[in-house]
Amino acid sequence: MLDLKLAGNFAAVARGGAENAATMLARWLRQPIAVEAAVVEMIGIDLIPEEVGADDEATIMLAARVKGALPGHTVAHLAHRDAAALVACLGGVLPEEGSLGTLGELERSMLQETANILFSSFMNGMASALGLFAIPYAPAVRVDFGTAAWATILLQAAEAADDALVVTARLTGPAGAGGPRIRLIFLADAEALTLISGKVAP
Amino acid sequence: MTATETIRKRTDTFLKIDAALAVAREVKEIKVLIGQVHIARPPHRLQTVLGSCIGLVIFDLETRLTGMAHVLLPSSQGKPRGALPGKYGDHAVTCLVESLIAHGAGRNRLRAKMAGGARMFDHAIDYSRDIGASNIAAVEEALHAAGIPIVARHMGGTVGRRIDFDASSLRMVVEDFGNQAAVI
Repeated sequence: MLDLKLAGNFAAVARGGAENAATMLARWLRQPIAVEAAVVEMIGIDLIPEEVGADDEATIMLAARVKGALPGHTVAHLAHRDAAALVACLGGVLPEEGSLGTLGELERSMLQETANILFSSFMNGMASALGLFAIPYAPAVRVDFGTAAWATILLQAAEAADDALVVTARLTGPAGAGGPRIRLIFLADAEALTLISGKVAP
Repeated sequence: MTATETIRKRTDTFLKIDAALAVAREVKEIKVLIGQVHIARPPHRLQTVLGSCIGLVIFDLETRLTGMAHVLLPSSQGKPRGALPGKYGDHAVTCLVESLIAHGAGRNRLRAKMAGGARMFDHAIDYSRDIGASNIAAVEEALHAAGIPIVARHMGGTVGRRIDFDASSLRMVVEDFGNQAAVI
């Protein structure tokens, strides 16, 4: 459990991770990316998918297991509009919303590379602030009902408790230019929660 | 009150026996989130979205009193039941049977329908075991132990499912991601 005081302390670390991810993403997309928010919460396992923005419609989910000193999962949710904006920045074209299942290999690798950049900069931005390191695995690109894939993501955390530590960062490109809006999430395993509590305690 | 208790207040996750049980003509669509168990009578519907989880429905053939559990993990291995009674397969079956009987269902009239158990990821998130297959086996074993026949299944594969169970007709509509809907 992370009490509100510690959650506040860790929020500063989470903000640093989000800023790092925004900086790296801006370089990758060659357009400015801002951090709209970085929030740290303990959320009930049953409520996590919906609280972090997953819904029951077709969604592109980027996800990776994280090892090292901050074990858990990192996830990015992209609505069709935002995935299309992101891929367009890289010179790709996303299929229509109704036929997302036909996502091409070129666009899939663009999304995967973007996830690589996002996850490693986000996780290591947080880890280094705690004097630690984090190793995100190669990310998976999943096109499905938004909440469907979350069960597999939640397994480790759910085996340990009925709630979990969730960091949610919202990154946005220039709204006027139809820039992408990305919701970047870190779901901590119980082991990481214990370690974080120790590191951010006053 | 902790963040989780505050959130829990907004969603009655143990056993949502509320207006849904009242004899109301307005059809309620009750969403069953991960780990939750909900009970309903006709004309109401129970709905959820599944990946590797199991959407388990047990119903009384005669009164049509119906319960749905959203099972995330196979077996509790002796852990006590927590705030999410449907989180483990064995707990989910026990909780559903207890609740249905407590509300007047006849034990010999109980039947089950199940969906889900897909394998959603294969590498990056690779959870060393195929959790979908483990969930299917654990729920089937718990139903067998409870003597409840499974009358329909829609399991496995590699895509998500949206399911909608109608307590009036006792039919389950299963919509695979990207495919036609099936009725079981």
